[in-house]
Amino acid sequence: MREDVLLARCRKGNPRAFEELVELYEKKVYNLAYRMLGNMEDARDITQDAFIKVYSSLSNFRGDSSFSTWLFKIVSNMCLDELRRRGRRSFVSLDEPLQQEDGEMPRQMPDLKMDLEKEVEDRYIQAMVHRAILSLTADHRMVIALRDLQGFSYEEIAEMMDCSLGTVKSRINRARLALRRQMEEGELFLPDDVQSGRREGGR
Amino acid sequence: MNDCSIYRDDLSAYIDGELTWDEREAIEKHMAACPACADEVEVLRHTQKLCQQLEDVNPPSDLTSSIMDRVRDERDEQLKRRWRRFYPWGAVAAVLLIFMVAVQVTPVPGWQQLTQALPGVGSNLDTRMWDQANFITAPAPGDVVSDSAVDAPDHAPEAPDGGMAISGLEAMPQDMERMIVKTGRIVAEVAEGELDEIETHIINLVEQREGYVESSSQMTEPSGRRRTNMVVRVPAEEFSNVLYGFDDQLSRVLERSAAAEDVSETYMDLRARLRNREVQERRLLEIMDMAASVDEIMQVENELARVRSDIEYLMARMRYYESVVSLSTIQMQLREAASPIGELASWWEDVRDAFMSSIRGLAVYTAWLLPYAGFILLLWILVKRIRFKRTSGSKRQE
Repeated sequence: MREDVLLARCRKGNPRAFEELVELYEKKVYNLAYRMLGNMEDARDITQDAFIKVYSSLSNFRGDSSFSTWLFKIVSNMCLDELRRRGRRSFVSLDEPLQQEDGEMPRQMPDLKMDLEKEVEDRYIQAMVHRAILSLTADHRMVIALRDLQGFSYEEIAEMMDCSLGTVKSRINRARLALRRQMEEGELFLPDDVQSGRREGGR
Repeated sequence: MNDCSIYRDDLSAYIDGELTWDEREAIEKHMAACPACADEVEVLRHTQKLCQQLEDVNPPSDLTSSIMDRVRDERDEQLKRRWRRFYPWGAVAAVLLIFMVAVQVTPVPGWQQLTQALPGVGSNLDTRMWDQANFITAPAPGDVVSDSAVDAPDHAPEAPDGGMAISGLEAMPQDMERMIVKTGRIVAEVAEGELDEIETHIINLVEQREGYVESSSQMTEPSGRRRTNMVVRVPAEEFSNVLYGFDDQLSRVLERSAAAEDVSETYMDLRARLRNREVQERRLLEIMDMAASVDEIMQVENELARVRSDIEYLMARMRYYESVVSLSTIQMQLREAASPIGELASWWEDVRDAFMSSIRGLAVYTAWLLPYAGFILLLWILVKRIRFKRTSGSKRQE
């Protein structure tokens, strides 16, 4: 309801209403772009471009889908375009300081309290996951980001990516398996969890 | 393993709760029998959990403001684009407007003809002046009188006695000076309510100068103003005295004119013809005395009657000229000055007339513009096409 009112005001060209809309969605948009593109500079650019595009094509939004679906469809298309422009070369974020520290940190501070230790470990894991996601193909990265990070339903994802529900289902499944393989390489799976030989043999 | 391939793609959906109840049951049943698939579900769950551990990063604090800056730029750009889309039309409209104004202001010959060809078209001022011009050039009532006298000689007074004819004859030699017909005309405004008084004054003045009022009529205009039209005859020597004799009674003289027409030549001609006829008559009378038979007498009498009627006609004409020469004609038109109420009424009439003539003018103008409409349509299509090319070109560049 609130969103409807905001949208109606935006359509009338009220910049204040649009600002509210931006505040409402910019964090999600920014995070999606960040996970897709891997660095904050690009995430910022894409977020800005996406909102400008939303502003100038707001009159084309007819309310067939929800606004957030429409918005994230624009954002994800922009991310995919950006990735396509970069070509196939892999891109690893440079502004994630933890990646540079690697796994040395916990071992250098053995006397730290338990929760600090856990926090450091969490950070390490997060960096690894982030890197693993960035090593996926664009489509896999997209479904992981939309499903596991943003929590969209399969139906919404299907709409955003212009594909069938079945495609979304299998794509998410394959993306998770691919991600798991990446994380195995980063030793995020314990040996008994991995069972990589069997899984890969099964393929 | 065959079973596994059926379910494998659905395992993630199973974790995410995106399966129907039946699909869910089938997978759970399969997992109970297939430890490999059960393991895979665990692996997928673990993967998902790791992903969900990723915390959201905070966008830069100035993100909103920088977006809004660009939104404002975009809005300006949109306005500019809209302006760019419409300014050729603005230009066309401006040119058209200037053209229209120019046509209205400058007297284009074609336009003049147009307004004259269609009755009631043209500015109020034009029709006013037209009216006035008509009024000025219209034949004066005095002239009408003279015309009718000339045209209808048969109706001239009958049974003139011989004495009068002789007196006319005898007057002639003395009348060798020029015969001048004087006519005058005065149009004036008088103070409201004084019209009757002034009329009486004029009648007294004219009678005092041994003239008379030939005709007089009064009317009331729609605006409530009264006016009097009078034609007076006064002796020629009193002409100026009467024409200028009551100026102090008038609040404003709008028009005054005096004219003199020399009719000496016509008069001389009449006189010569009359002489001939009189000689003829005398001779016929002599023949009459010598007539022997009744037949001869009858013939001479017939001839005599014809000559007599000619003489009478010529004498009547001469008397008429003598009359107009000796009595000048003055035409007067007096009207009350506009009262405030009358002025308001006439002002309102002006407004109404102006409005009506504007509407009529507009209708004519629209008709007049019609041929240009085709030209403008052509121009429009041209502009549209050029713009289409421009935009599609820029899109290709993008």
